[in-house]
Amino acid sequence: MIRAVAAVGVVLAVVACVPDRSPEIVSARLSYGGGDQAALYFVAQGSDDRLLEVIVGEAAGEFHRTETDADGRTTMQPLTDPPRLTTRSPLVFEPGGLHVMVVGLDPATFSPGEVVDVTFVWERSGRQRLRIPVVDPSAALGGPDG
Amino acid sequence: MPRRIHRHVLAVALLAASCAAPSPTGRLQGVVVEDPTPKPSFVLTDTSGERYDFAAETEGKLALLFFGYTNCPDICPVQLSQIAEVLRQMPDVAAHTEVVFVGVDWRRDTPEVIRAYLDRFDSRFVGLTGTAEELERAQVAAGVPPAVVDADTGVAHAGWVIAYAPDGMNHVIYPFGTRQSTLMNDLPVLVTMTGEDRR
Ligand SMILES: [Cu+2]
Repeated sequence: MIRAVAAVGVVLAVVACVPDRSPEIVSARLSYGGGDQAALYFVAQGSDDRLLEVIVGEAAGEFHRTETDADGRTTMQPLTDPPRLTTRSPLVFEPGGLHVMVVGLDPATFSPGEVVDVTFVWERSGRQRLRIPVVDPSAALGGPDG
Repeated sequence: MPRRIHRHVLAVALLAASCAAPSPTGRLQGVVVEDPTPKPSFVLTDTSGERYDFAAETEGKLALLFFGYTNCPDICPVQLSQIAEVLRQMPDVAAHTEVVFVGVDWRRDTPEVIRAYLDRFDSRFVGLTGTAEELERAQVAAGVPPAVVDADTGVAHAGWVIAYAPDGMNHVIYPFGTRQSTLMNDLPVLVTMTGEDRR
């Protein structure tokens, strides 16, 4: 029994000593169908952190959630608090749910098939810069079914 | 005993027949409407400023009706670009299909704004606008909750595509999140639903 408790203690100590990791960003894509607006979708996982800001190119994005009312109307609402992820629950931005809305884009500067510089600003992990593909909105849902 | 066998044979034969020729509705993968409703009648203004009578203009065609707004980066572009992509891949279906986008945000969805917006997806898409009252009437006629356009909270609108087959009936809807493969399956089925088979 004492042995078992000691073993658990060692494991906990090891876990506690693992240095903080930056969140891992997977399946990120910027859905852009022309004009000056786009929506960024991604999954962030594997860390405890809060997302303070996302900058796409030069433009600061806004965190929005698409919500559906009792009659079935959908609307976008700005988030009031920074979105949070934990090591247990990833942060999922997906069509019809959370998205980073980007406005004021210059249509001349990018189009589907290209990549764009995106900076994630985390409360604990700081700035994280990634190159993210620009996709046509028909591919925004992701996966092979389109 | 022979009679019993006979009945089994009949049942198997019926089953085989129903497998060989399933009803068109049975082949649809969208959300099938249990009691199909007739095409609504409403008149709005198209992007060239002409009056557009929805029922008359889409008669005998597959009509895909969507109430959205142009300042919407999340739901509307996904729905419209999926339809555009499927029609690009299926020119025969496209020839018998009319896609009608109604811009519910009367504050900014002018005919010019709607035209520029739809041209990003497919220049054949019809864009409609109207006064707040006309838009509300059209939505009520189509059986969707009328959009709420609010200066503070933005635009709340029905996010699904309503499909009227050439027979003039709404047999199926496509809520947000519908996959492109579903539309690829359904649109060729819908264009064949002319109502001839039931006459
Ligand atoms: Cu938004």
